[in-house]
Amino acid sequence: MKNVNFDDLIHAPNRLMICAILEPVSEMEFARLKEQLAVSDSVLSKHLKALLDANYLNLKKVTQDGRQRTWLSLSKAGTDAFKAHVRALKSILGA
Amino acid sequence: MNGINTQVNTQEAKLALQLIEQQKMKASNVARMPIWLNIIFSVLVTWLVYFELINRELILSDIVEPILLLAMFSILALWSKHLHGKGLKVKWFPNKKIAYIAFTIGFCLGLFGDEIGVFIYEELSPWGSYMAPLTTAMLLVYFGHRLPLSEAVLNEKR
Repeated sequence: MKNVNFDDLIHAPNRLMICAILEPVSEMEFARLKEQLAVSDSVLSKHLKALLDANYLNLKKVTQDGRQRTWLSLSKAGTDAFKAHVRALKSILGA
Repeated sequence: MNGINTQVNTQEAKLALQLIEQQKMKASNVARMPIWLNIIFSVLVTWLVYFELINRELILSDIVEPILLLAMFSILALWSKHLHGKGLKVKWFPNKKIAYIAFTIGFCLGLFGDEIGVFIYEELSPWGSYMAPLTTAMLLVYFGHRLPLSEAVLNEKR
């Protein structure tokens, strides 16, 4: 049986959006994610830290064209938690 | 859980799911190939499968097959590089039901391609010879445009 677990950490709107954007892609750069969410660097960093502390995210820093770029992806634990959270939301709706 | 809480939770859950879908759509819009490139790619795939591999009577020359393959992989590689520059890396084989279904169909086509080819070109002749490739190309364009991130926009609201 698939895991159904309402995750309070993921449920916060910004973190929910971060997981929703990162789940279908392989990796996304910090700047692109910030643009997608239309939030400031500090707000995004705060939410990313919360997800990183829970081991829900993988973070990779790469120097490209002379500047450092940060690539983010959902970890296995993050993907599982997000999917379980979506199933929990659907079960609330009775879907 | 009382009635009010249930109501709030239901609304909250509905909003949260809508939010998830909106964000997936945003990511999909970035990853989606422009329609002209999608059409070119789909025509190349269809040409390779139907006119180079199944109905070899219409083959142009032996050199066309590797050129078509090279063109297809070049389009995918260039698009991947373009997305990388925009800060996005897509999953080429997402761990989704639709990816496995597509792989199974492709695998079966590889195994039973000859039988399918004979059926299409003899049993459904003459219209099948033209309609089948056309339908395939249209489906490729549709799904390529509709599902760039695999199931990401399945519930897209227009």
